[in-house]
Amino acid sequence: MTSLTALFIVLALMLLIVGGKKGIQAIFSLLGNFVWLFLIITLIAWDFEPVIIIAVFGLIILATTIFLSDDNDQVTRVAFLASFSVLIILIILILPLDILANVQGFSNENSEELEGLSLTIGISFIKITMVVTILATLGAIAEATMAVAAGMQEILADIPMLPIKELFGHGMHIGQQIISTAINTIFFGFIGSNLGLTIWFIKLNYSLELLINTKIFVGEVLMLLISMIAVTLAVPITVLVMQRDIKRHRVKQ
Amino acid sequence: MTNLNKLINLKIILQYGIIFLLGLSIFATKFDAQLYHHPIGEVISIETTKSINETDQFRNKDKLYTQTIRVKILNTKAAGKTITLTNQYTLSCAMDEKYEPKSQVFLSHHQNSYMITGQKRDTILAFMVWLTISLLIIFMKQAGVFTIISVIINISLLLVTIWLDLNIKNINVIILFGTLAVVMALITLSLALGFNRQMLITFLASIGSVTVAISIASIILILTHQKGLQFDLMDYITQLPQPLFIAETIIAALGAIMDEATDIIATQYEMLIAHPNLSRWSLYKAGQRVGQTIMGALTSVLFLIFIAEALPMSILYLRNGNSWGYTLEMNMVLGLAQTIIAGIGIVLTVPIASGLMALLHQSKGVIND
Repeated sequence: MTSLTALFIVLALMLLIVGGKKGIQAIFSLLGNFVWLFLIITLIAWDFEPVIIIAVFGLIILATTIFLSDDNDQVTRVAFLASFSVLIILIILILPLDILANVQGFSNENSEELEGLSLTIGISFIKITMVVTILATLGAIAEATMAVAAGMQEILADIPMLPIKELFGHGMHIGQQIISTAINTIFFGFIGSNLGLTIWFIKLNYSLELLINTKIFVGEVLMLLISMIAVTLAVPITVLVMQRDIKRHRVKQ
Repeated sequence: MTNLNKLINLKIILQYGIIFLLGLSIFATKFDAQLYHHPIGEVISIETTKSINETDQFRNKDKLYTQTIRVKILNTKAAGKTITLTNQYTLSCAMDEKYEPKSQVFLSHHQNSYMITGQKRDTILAFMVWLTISLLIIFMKQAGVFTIISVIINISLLLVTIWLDLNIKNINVIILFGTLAVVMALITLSLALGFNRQMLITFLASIGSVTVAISIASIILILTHQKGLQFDLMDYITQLPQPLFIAETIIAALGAIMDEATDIIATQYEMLIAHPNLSRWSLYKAGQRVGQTIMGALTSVLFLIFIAEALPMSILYLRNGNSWGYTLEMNMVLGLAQTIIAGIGIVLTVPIASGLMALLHQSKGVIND
């Protein structure tokens, strides 16, 4: 058995023991996201338009992560709609950004790994960078919108007839409570996955002027910043979507 | 009351002052060419003069474009001079760059001719830093400011640790970065929760979960003889790769685990305030319910961060005629292993955080065990 298989079996067993039914859902959510990722890469390699692929699969990944995490209909519905809105804003922000920043593809630092590979593959790496940036952010968006939606739902369960205007303040307050840990989740994730690169820059004595213009460094930092922006925007957007959802509910009654 | 209002006004003025000043500094990077030693030019006009179809040995069809670019030199002795030069880029832009009017580029100077060596990216970087900080302050107020402070402190701590790693011979990398994780957790949680009992329990739960997860993973790696894990495939390696692999995993897992432990323990605290006589077992169960809901999503957050990075290289491998199996092995196995180890930590946090809180809390009421 390979180490990877053994690790996965242990994770799956633990999810089952600790989570029960929720654990099974989490296993499916992880496997599902892996399959979507496999499809994204394959379809892009088959010349499908990357921007359309990420818009479609971005939604599917959000749905997989959100609907398999929580069982509360209102929480998942609001979280999904809010995540969808954040995704659209992100795509609009990233399109010009990645064209202007020129952080796509590879750099001299990668020359060893690139040996023997043909780079003229006819797929725009600018678009691939967009896909990468959005993918890396999706999990964090889903998590933040769910946290805010679930928190607001709890308040409503306590005070069902809370005026809609007051709900906004409560929602933003919940957002302010979760923002620090939500941002730290992505921040630590990013510095963890880029630790080797950071050590490389320092060991090879990159000067500050070189660093803040280097393709790889700027590319990674931009990705982290976009994730942070996405999580920050996720809070007010979720609050607004929740407000609308409640309004519609109350009108119906 | 008026004093309080004045204080709040002062705070708001201070916050927007920061935003404004940072905005000015972006404007400044547009004109910072004088600070650079390398020659820098601003693109005045661009004309695409030639395009040639190219096909590689795997029948990938690409196009090679030639741009004729007029550039105004901004610094060095030649400042103010306008030169014309050419740039070639491919449709895929894997290693080359396509330039746009108004963008600034670095130039190299050989004898009498200039060449473009790359894009100047400091302005766009400064703009995005400004946008991030502004949005955090506008929407999240004080919590946003504290978040920014904790990110800055953590980056400084990381740099100090890397300096130690590079300058102390034979230092144990896992112990070094493990210590970093402890210090980072202490500071991050203090800034998010304040220094109190709740924060200490969250801190203990986070560090405990990371430690147990890394220990379990190490045992699994030893038992399976690390089969299938080629540590020399890690990117940008300048030192022994395996300890670095563990160090990366510790830090990446820590953020998600702190997030989860904070959520679990905060909910348990709120329940205790509402129902002071809650038994330790019910309290444990309440924490478990919160943890179960978020553990899957948190594992996905890390999974997507780690695997997204492997995407460009994977697509390149596939288009170079490699099989999916080989592409996966070369580009994703290590990231997947790191995600799964972090996932084990995230799952373990549910019983560890709920349990620690149930055991360590001080309730004023009578506790029915």
